[in-house]
Amino acid sequence: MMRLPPPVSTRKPSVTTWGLVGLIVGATLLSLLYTPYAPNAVDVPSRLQPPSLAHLAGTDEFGRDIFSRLMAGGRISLAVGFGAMAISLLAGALIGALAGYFGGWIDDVLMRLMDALMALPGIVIALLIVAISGVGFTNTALALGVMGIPVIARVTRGAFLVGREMEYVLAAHALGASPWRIIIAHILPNQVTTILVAASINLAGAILGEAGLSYLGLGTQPPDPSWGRMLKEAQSFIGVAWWYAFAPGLTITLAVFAFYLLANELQRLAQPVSLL
Amino acid sequence: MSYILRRLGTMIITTALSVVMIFFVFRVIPGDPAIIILGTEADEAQIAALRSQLGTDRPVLEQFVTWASSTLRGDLGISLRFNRPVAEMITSRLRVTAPLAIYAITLVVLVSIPLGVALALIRTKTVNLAFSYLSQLGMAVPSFWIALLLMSIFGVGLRWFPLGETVDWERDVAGSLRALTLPAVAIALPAIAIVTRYVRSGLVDQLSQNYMRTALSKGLSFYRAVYGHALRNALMPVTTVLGILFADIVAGTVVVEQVFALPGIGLLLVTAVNYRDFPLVQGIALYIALVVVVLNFVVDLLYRVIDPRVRLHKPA
Amino acid sequence: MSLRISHTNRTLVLAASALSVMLASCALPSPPPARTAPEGATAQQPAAPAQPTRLVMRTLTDPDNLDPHLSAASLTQQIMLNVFEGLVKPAPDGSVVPAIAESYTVSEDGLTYRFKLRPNVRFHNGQPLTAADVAYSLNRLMGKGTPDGKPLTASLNDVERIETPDDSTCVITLKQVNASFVNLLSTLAIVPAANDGKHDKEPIGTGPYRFVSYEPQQRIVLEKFADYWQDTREMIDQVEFRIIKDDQTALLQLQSGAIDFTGVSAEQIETLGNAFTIVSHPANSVFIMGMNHARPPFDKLEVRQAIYHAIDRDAIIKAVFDGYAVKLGSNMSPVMAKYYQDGLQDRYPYDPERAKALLAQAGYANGFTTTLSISSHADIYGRTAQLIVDQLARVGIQATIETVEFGVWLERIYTNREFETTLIDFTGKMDPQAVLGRYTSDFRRNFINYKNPEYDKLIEQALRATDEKTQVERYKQAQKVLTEDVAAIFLLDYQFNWAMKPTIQGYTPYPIFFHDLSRLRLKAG
Repeated sequence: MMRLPPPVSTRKPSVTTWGLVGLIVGATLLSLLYTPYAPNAVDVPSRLQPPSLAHLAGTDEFGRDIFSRLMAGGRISLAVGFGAMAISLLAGALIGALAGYFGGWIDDVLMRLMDALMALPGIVIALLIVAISGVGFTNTALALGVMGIPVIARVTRGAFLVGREMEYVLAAHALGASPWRIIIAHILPNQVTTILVAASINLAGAILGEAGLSYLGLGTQPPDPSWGRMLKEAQSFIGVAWWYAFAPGLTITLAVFAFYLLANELQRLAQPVSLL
Repeated sequence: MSYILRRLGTMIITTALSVVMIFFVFRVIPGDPAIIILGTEADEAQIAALRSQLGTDRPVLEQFVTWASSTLRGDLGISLRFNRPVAEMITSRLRVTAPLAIYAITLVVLVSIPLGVALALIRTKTVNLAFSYLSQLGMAVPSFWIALLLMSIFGVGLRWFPLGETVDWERDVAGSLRALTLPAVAIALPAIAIVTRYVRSGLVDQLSQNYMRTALSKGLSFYRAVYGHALRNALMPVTTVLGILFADIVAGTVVVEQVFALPGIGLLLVTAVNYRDFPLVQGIALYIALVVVVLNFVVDLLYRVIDPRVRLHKPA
Repeated sequence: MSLRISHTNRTLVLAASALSVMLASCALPSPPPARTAPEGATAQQPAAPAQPTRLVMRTLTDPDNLDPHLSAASLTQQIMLNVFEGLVKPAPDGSVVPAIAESYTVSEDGLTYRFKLRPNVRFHNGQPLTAADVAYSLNRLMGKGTPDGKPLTASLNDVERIETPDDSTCVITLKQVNASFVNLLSTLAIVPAANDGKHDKEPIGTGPYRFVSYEPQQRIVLEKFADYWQDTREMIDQVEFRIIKDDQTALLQLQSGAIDFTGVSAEQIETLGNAFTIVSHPANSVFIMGMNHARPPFDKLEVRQAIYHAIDRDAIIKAVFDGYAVKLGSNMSPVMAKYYQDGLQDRYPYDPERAKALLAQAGYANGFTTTLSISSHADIYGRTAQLIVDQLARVGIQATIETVEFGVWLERIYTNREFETTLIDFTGKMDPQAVLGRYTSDFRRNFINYKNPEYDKLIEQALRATDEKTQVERYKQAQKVLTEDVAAIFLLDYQFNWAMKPTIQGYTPYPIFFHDLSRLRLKAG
């Protein structure tokens, strides 16, 4: 078991963390109602314009407004991130809880399965899912989600190994509560921050993973933007339009940064937390 | 001993599970190696000829039995795409991947441990905050972005390091190291951010333990206490992280390999999958499964041999 | 500066080591060759024994097969046409010129071809070429005398028999007249019978360069063949094709000096400035949007016409190719000057109003929805698709892009024809039959299901024509039919842009994928 950094001394919520997370999620949600330009509106005559008041982050090779596309891109990037996290979290937490609570052969079988999954290269999982059901953001989320299952399962299992020895759990057991009830009503709430920390790290990783898969051509479908695909598409214009690649690159970095900080925040609430 | 035997058993099962899974999944998914290899310009005759040459026109079970029995005999078969023995292709990739992995891990260890110790000992609020932000930023930058930046600055601008060369390390160690420096740095940077965090927090944790106070009160010098005991214990979890990291790199760092055009395992794997090169995919999957399983085992063993809890209660 | 020099030296050590691996059987470690002295020194030693010259060129992907008879990929041909020759070989203007055969005659009825072989042709293993090798190679392609008896190509289906009356004569008799026959021979490699069973591992040909080594995903190395039947003294001694998938990586490597030659995209040309020579030429490609004629509404001519009017090819050329492309109107590039039917590119100008009217006429006044299925293996499909989707939306057609892996694309769309619309570029062929023949009803790869008996007849007539005038005439008519039927949306022919060090001279564009190394020269800086 390992420990992430213990809480930073201050106890008040971090302005930076919540500010950044709020900004990114807020801008993305706002894009559902308003973007300066339609994110997919092509305007070839005004292609590759540098940032200006009219186009805050410049335009891309089709004359589309990069700022609007970044706002809209958040929908897909965050959906991939949260989707992947949800898959990893649901499957991982369930597997980890069962293994950790019951132990014995159930633990053995489930953990061997997790080992086998971990022993499969992540990129193969992604390539396989793409080969079967095509490129698309649900498949990207699925691939990244499946890759994240073993880690969450291990964390949850660890938390449950600790949790099931707690006195109140033993008491509930003695009172005849069913295993499911004990898992859901007694252990889970007390270990929830542990799992949430792992989940927000998983979320940050999935956003970064989306960028990596997009680079390899396994990301989302055009024309709807995602941050990773925008960065990939901008790559051949680095020499002529620096802003094209800079904007999505910065956005990804800030978003991942924000969710890592969020993990830290959650961890401060949880006190030292075991990971892996 | 029985523990080791049991572990060996599960290792074999884990490996076999993932490889058999790969075999059948690949037979089900769409994509015909003969069509993919020949591309749009092929005519039917060429495709049929290639299919029978590759043996992909036989029943799946027959293919499996053939493959499984020859694999058990140590023969991984011939790559459909490259027409070469799979084992030979994997070993040739290891000549790039192995030095790269060792180089990157060495960089990580050399930077993270001193840095983590320093940060644990100098704990002012500003340093804490600055490090916390910096390390998380380090983890947040997309890897191909770092790689392209490194190439532009140190490969094209300053020309400190050559691009696009792989030098055989058996022939020219210095040259090989120089050629691998940029990719190793690209892999190491985010890893350094992570590992430094573990070193620092592990050490801070140990420093607050009772045994440290005991040790110090018994007159042990602060530095001996830190380096002899606290750091040693703090490095235990770091070993796990390094083990995972090492397995990751040895299994192939696809993105960095593609950006630097390095012929490593990862790039070979992607090509193998894209071309539905069944024997090659199976061979690499077997190799990666073995690496992951064995490294897990080694880390577990390390844990058993030097269990920190045992040391924790020993009087210093 | 000193760093720069040591860098160069190491490149050479590397080259030497590759060489010694290749020569391992001789157990002679070759001494590291010294680099040509810096500027100025060369002028003083013109008579000195030539220093080995070396070039590193980038190629995009691995060869599909080193056996020329099993290879079908254009990118493999681009390199290996330097190693292999046919009885005739391609010329830069798209015609064929004598190669292994120094001349040939055709009988009155157009059925019997008599090839006179060049006397001094040697294979790379030193063995002289005889008519038996020619017969062996062509028979192997036809599946005669091979283990499974299956032909390796359909190109020679019209051949009745091959005879070798003597060592330097080869007589080929056809079942029926085939106007493309000599064209076809230009890419059918003649290989030594003695190398049977090893063509894919140790390829041996008669070309100006011989194959040295191939390391998957790394490099293919070729070396000048001193015993070539033409003078090779001016040619570059060794050429390495470095396999680099990523375009940006290739550009950076060019700038860092690691490679000397690479294809670049239009945007990258601007980045390079004046430090490199750029050679741009039309690729002789045909980039199309294919519509499945077997699926409504694409079975309706008005719908296809409407789509043609709805698509702004100029915008695509500007936004996706930065202007480096020419508009097409039928399935032929202007590079094929002799056969090209001009004017068709203006038949369906960009006219959204016209498009809407045509849609209404076809009964789709409110448009329809469709799927544009593209492969993920090259950027141009995704980028073009985004523009097309936007343009179609303006006339009421709601298209969704579906991206699939190239392997899936080949199987599902190209082979099984399960799609509505798609994008694909056909790479250049010198033979008009190969270019236009893909639209005949019975063609195996007529994946868009285009069927027009009139078209089939024109193509058949062109193929069987004994005089060139009729042949050219029929091919031009065929192009018009394709345009009138809107067999596909013929978009454009893009250009290749090659960036190279200024010391490289003599790069000669071909209408097919071919880096002709025999014409390249290295001039001192």
